[in-house]
This record gives sequence, C-alpha cells and structure tokens, in this order.
Amino acid sequence: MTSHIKMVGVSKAFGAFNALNRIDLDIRRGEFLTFLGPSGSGKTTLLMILAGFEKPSGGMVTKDGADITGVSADRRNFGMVFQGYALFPHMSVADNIGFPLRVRGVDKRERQARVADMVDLVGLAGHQSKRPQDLSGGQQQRVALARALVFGPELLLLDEPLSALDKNLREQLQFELKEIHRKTGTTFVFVTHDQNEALALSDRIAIFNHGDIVQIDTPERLYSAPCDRFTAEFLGSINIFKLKNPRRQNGSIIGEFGGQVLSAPALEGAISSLLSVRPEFLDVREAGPASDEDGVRAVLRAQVYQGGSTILKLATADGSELIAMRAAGQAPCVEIDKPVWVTWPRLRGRLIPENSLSREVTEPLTTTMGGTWKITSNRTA
Amino acid sequence: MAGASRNGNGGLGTRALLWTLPVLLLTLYVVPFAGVISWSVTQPEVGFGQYWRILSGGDMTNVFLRTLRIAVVSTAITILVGFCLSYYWVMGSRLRQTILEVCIFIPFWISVLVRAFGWLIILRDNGLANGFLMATRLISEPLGTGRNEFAVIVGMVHFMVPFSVFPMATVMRKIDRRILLAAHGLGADPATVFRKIFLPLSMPGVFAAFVMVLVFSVGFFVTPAILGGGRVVMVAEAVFVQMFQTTNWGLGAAMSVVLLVLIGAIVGLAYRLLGLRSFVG
Amino acid sequence: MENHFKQDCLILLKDRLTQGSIDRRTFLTGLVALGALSAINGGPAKAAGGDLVVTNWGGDAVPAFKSAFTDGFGASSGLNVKIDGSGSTKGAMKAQFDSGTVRWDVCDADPGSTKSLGDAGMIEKVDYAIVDKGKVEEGFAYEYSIANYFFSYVIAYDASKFAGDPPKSWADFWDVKKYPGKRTMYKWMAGSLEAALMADGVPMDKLYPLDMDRAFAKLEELKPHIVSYWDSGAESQQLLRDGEVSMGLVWHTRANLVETDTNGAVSWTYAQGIMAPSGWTVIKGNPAGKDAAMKFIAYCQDPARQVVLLETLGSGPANPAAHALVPAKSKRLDCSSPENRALQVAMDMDWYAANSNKALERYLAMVAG
Repeated sequence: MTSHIKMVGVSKAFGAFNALNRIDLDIRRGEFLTFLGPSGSGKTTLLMILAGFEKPSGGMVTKDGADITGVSADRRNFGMVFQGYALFPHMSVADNIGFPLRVRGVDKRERQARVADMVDLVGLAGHQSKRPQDLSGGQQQRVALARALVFGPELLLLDEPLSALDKNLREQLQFELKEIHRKTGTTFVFVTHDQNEALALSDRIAIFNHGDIVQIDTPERLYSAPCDRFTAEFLGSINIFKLKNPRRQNGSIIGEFGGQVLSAPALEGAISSLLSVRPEFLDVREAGPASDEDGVRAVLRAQVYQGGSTILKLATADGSELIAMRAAGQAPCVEIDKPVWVTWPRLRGRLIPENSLSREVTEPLTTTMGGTWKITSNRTA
Repeated sequence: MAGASRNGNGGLGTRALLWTLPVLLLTLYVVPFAGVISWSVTQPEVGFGQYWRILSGGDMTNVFLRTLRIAVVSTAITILVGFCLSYYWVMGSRLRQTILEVCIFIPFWISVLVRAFGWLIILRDNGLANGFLMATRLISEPLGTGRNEFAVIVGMVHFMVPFSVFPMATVMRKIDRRILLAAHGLGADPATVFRKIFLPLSMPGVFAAFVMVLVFSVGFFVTPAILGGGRVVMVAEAVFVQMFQTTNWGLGAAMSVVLLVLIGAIVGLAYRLLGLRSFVG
Repeated sequence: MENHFKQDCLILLKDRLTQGSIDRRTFLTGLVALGALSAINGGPAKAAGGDLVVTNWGGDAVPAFKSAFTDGFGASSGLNVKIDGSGSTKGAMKAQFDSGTVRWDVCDADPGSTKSLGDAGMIEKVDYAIVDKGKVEEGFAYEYSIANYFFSYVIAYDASKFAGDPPKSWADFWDVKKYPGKRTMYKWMAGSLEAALMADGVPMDKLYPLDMDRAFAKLEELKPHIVSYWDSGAESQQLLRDGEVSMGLVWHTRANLVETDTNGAVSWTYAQGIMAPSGWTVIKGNPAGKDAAMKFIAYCQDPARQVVLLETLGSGPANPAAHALVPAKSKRLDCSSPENRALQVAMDMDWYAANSNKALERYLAMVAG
C-alpha cells in the first residue's frame, strides 16, 4: 500500500498541557487504521488535526506529498463520522446525506441519485424522509456514515462512532463497516477506546498513551508481541510475573517466581524481568508442569462462566492475582480455595521490554509484584 | 379494602390537585376576559360600534397602526441586536462571556424610567449626541432624534434587548457544537454553516424571543410617554385613557380585544414564516 | 387632569421636606389638607366601623407619619381617618359605584368628572346644610362637588432671553418670531383649548362655550414648535430648566419652582392664566355615610388649614377668607387671590363635564397625528 497521509512531528499543546508529543505517522492508502488508547491519550486530538478542526502547535500534515497543515476542514474533502453522529436535526435523512453534495454545488438530479445509492449501501431504504430523531441509534449511525461517504472522500475519519450502541448492534455494525470499507476502498481512520473493536476492524492499530503513539502494528502482532507493558495490558488481559534474578541461559531468560524457575525466549537488548502469559494459554490443574511447561502454585478464588469460556481468578502464595481462561468443553473446574498448579507451555511465555516509551499505566493495577491481571467488560464479552 | 379506599381517595385528591391550576387559570384569565369582551359589545350600547370605531380609519385606527409600526420595527431591531449579542455571548471565550453577562444583567437593575431619561439626555436636541455632532461640525442643526417615534424605538429596543437574549441564548447553547463541526467538515464554509445549520437550529429561540418582545412592545407605556414628547400614544396608553379618563369602557375593552387578536395573528404568521413546524413534527 | 396636579403636589411636598425647606409638622399639615394620608398608611384603605376613607393621588409612603390624621378631623369627630392613595380617577370612581362596593368616603376629584358621574346618578349632592357655601369662592360650590383648592395653567418663559419684553398673553406664546424657541403644552388638554382661543383673539370673558374647531386649528398652528407635550409636572419643569423650551404652558406651582431653581432665569406670569379647581366629592353609598363625609369636607374649609396648604404645596385656597392670612412672601403663589384672579380666567367645569371626553380624544389624536 502506498502512503496517503503523512504526519511529521505533529504536536499539540493546550496551555501547559501537551496533548500530543511530536507524532510521526504514515497512513497508507485504503487501509483501516485505528487509534486506540485510554481517554486523554491524544487519539481524538490527532483525529481533529487530521480533519482540520484543530491546528497543530507544531509539525506538518501532508496528503500525497502536499502540505495540508493550513487547509481548513471544509476544503480537505475528508468525510467524518462523529461521536453521537451529529446529524442535522432539522433535515430529513435524505437532506442529511445530500448536505455535502449541496454545499459542493452538485445539481439536484445527481444529488438524488447519489443519495439513493448511499441509502442502499447503508441499508436505509424507506427511511429517506424521516427525521434523524425518529430513527434508532443504529439507523442514525448509518445516516452519519452515508453522509460522510456520499461525496466520495479520500479519507473517512470516524470518532468513536459505535460507542453509543448496545453490544449486539455494535457487533453487527462492525461487520457492516468492514464491508463498506472493502466496497469503497476509502482510507479509514477510526478512533476508539474499545480494544475489541480495534482488534476486530483494523488493518493496523496505533496505540496511544500520554500523547504518544506507543506502538503501531497489525492487531495480531500487537497482541502477540506487545512492545511494552502498557500495550500488553491495554490489549486484552495478561498475567505478568516479575522475575527475581533474571539471567540469560541458552537464548532464554530465566528467573524465579514463587519458588519456581520460569523462562521465556530472550529479547534483543537489555534483560527484562517481566514475563507475560495471556490467560488463554494458562492451564489450571492439580498436576505440576510437564517438561515443556512452566508453572506456579496458586489457589482458585473464583470462576466466572462466560458461555463459550470460563474465566478463572486465582491467587499465588504472595497474594498476587492471576487470570486464566478455559475454553468450553475442557476438563471440569477445580474446587474453590484448593491449591492448584497454574501451568503454560514454555513457548507461550513472553518477555516484555522494561524500558520503553510507556510511563505509568493510567489505570491502577491490582498488584505491583508478580502476576497481575486486568480484565475489561469488553474483553469478557 | 382499607388500602383500596385510601388509594381511591388519594387518586381523587391528586386529580383535584391536577385540576386546580387549569381551573385557576380559567378563573383568573378567561372569565375576566370574557367580561372584557362583553363590555366591548354592550357599552355604552349593544352592538359592534366600538369595533367599527377602531377599524373605521379614524384616530383609534391610527393608534393601532402606530402601535403596530413601532412594535414591529422595534421588535425586529431587538431580535437582530439580541441575536448578535446571544451569538457573541454563547460562542465567546470565558472572559467575553463574563463581560457580556455583566452588560446584559446590569440593565435589569435600572428602572425603565431611569433608562428612558438616560436616552432623553443623549438624544434630545441639546443632548449629548447632537451636542457632540454639532461640536465636531458633522451637523449644523440638531437631528431631531429626541422626543419622537425614533427616540421611543431606541428606548424600547434598549429595554427589550436583554430580555430577548435569554430565549435565543438558551436555544443556541443547546445546539450541539459537533453538528456545526460536522457541517464544516463535510464541506460547508463558515457562512454556509451559519445559514444552513446554525440559523435554522436557532429559530425556536428566535421565535420565543419574538413573541415575548412583541407582546412587550405593544404594551409599552412609560418609554413612549417620556421619549415620545407626548406625541407617541400607543394602544396601552389609549386604553388607559378610555378606562380612567373618559370612562368609555366599551372602547377600551374593544381595543384590548383587537390588540389580543392582532398579536395572535402576528404570532401565528411568524410561526408559519419561520418554519417552526419543522421542529414540532 | 387635575388628578395629575394633585399627584404632582405630593411630589413637590416631599421634595421640599427632604430639602428641609419645610418641617415635618408643616409637611403633615399639608398632607392632611390635601387628604393625602396614603403617604402615611401606604396601601389601599377600606372603611370599617368608625373609619373614614379619603382618596387622593398617593405617592411614596412615609412610614413615620402614622397617626397623623387623627390630630385633625379624627380628634374632633372620633372617626379614624384613613387615606387611599390609589387615585380617584373618573374610571376608578365609576368602577367603585358599578361594583356596588364603594370603599371611599371622600374623593379629591376633578369637578368636571364628578359632574358627569353625578348626572349619571353615581354621586351624592353636596349637603350645603353641613358644608358652608359661603366658605368657598363664588361659583365653585357645585351640585356634586365643592372646590377644595385651586391651581393655574400659566405661561412660563425663559427670562434670560425675554426679560426685556416678557410675554404677556397667549398671542405672545404663539408668536415664535418675536419669542423664538420651542414650546411645551399639557398632554392632557386642560387649559390648552382656552389658551389657543385667547391666542386667536377670543376675549377672556367670551371663552365658554369653547369653539373647538377654532381652538384645534390654532393648536395645529403651534404644533411644529412643540418639542414635547408634558405628562408629569417634573417633565414640564425639566423642559424649562434645561432650556429645551423657551416657553411653556405649565402649572403655576411648577413654574414657581423652576423660577426658584434657576434664580429667575425662568420666570412666569398669571397674565391670561387659566385657574382650575379641584373638588371634594362623595360617591353614592359611601361606607361611613354621607353625613360623616360632608362633615369632613366642612372641616377642611377652615381658612388657616388652607393657608398651610398654600405654604406647603402652592395651591390656592378655596375659602376667600384665607387670602388675608397669606404671608407676603407667598402672595405670588396664591392663584385665587383677588389680585391674581383679576389677571386670569376661571375654568368652566360644566363645559368640561359635558365635552371633555370628546375634546380629549380629539386633542390626543391631534397631538399624535
């Protein structure tokens, strides 16, 4: 894919507060790029700069090599879908969708034809003459999408467009959005704080934290190889063991945790003491680790049945908590408060670099030493 | 059983309470006004003579025409000024909003009498405005800006602008900024955003302000009396004269009825013209 | 019309009290004489047993004066006198009578208005067995009311401009070439028609019945030179003091005040002045009974009290016996004294009773047109 929009050293300060620290970003033509991060991390600010609603304090935005930093929003020819949709309440659905064409001076006949096409594309046939307030949330979302796409923008910006919808509708619209992206071939830049949404939709995800892009990569690589503790914890749930006395051994790093020796493949550069394992790789059982496995002793504290899976919450001897996920149909669960082994294939252990862009994790963690778990409602969904 | 009967009583009590207000309003407004209507066709004799006098093109017709002219002109100017002020207020920075709030609220503390006299001092022939213009040789004769209809309109507009700001600013404040951003981002320049989005969305506030200011403006008494040089007799004063001085109550009553009908008609017309129906359904 | 005058008197009275030019006792006496206890009691009064309600034109309350009225009539009659300051306009009096619940005993009202209400059967005839016809200027003891004081519509002028040859007639008032400058006249017509007719050459003793067409034609003539038709006495005073007008038809009380304020830069004359009465009147069915009301009216005829009224408010005594008691410095203000009356014409209240409604409407239409 070729480069479409380039941002070089873009920064934004609101008074003494730095919302963005010299962002470099290359958006590729036709890709679905997601800005993911906690609120206040700068993702929406960067989107506003892209749209032309905010002027960057420094840096440059280019489109196909041409500087567009100073071009106002109405001349950028980007589509935008706002949080809460921002439909025009005094116009019908058709007039909402036709608005960008009208301000561009498109004549009535062509306007009607293109509006009709968009209505079909987003599945709103029969609703053209209704007012936005008479539509359901999902239908309003479709109007917003149609309105942003009707004039064939090169870039579509979406600011948390699905956050107001309930879970089922959100999932359905994720599929539709993906489908529309495929059909139109437009470059999509999507902002969300919902990691599931990001993982489900994106070609690439840019992880934002404290005004920086911490990591940008495909969903798969971000999940399996987070570059720092923030990314690891932000995407999905993860257990992190802080190893005592970490040291190299045969291309691996080994160290002690809770009286057990644990190991994981070494990373390039400095030795890291943070060993992470995703919950879905943990096994909870009475038997200790096999030869190709590592494990720690723990006590089962609670289990949460999820339908397709069960979440197990465990505590190690030093009180730190672990989280494991057991797929449906696996061996029956162990008893609560009974000592068990928590094991995982040694290959699944992964070290996380200690020194990285990441600073303090914004959300409080349950433990600082040893294992930690974090689970969001979205993740369990 | 006891519970059921208590419920029944409570229901009755609640219903009685719910009906209190409508009945009160009916008694306080409709009944006296029915009396006014009956006066208008019975005093001094039965018939529509008083209405004929108002509509026949004589001095009373002139009072109505003058009142309507002043009311419509001053209302239009008030809405225009109030709209700009509201826009400036709602869209401004924190500092600008504070400054404007002070400017909007201070007039409420000054009586209508004092404000009218203030304008008199500025507008009369030997007043500040003419004095300044003559001292700077921009004019050689006073402009005749005081003690006439012009001065009355100035005084009325000044009085009503702060009132007009509230309904308009309230509606403007409720307009979602993202809607404006969306229009801009979808390709509309600022003027188009204002014309196609902001203005239509402000219309309910404009209409509310219009009705309020119009009703205000036909009822002015003190301001025309002071700034009009005694010449600008509006309906409110003419009704007062008929009620208390000439005791021609039938005429006073008929004038009140005609005034009410006229205001109703203007409000109805404005409702249609401003396209308010698009907001109701 | 005269309603406005009475209200104006109260304003003047209060001003003078605050300026310290009269003391509180005099102020109180003035209020009593004017029947102006609204200033004391505040809100509308209702006659209960042993009460007598006198109405007039109110003003701001002065709470310190609470029991004042009983000093005078109250003490001698045993009645508790209350004042209602809501204003005894013609419309208000008619409303009281029509509603069937009269709350007022004695009203200070315009004799023209009372006559037309009296002819409609709403007003008690003055009982001249109790009220002394001999204690009022000749011709001002009416069927339905009796004069309680006088005031005049006079010419006030800019003496700094016209001192050499001051205006002496309404013809001079109309002569804007000889006496350049703007004019002001009364918005509520009283006195204006007479002035116009005199300016047009009608002799003072041949004014009534007023020739309306002729008067209005003359009024139209001066209209372009009228900067304002004044509504309140304060407004007439301001127009003269600030030099907005060089001449005005104003009440003599206000004229006198501007003269004092401006140290004589504005002056005034009784020449061709129009002297008008205000009158006591009793609505039929008054709560304290007709006799009590008549006794109050008789009590107010005392010449000494009427001089106090002149001293405090500047209004001319109704009782001819009072003129002898007027001190020299107040002689100029005594509009009903023989010397001053000789220069003026007395307003014919019967003509007003018969014609004022039509005339006022025409006048207002002329003013506004």
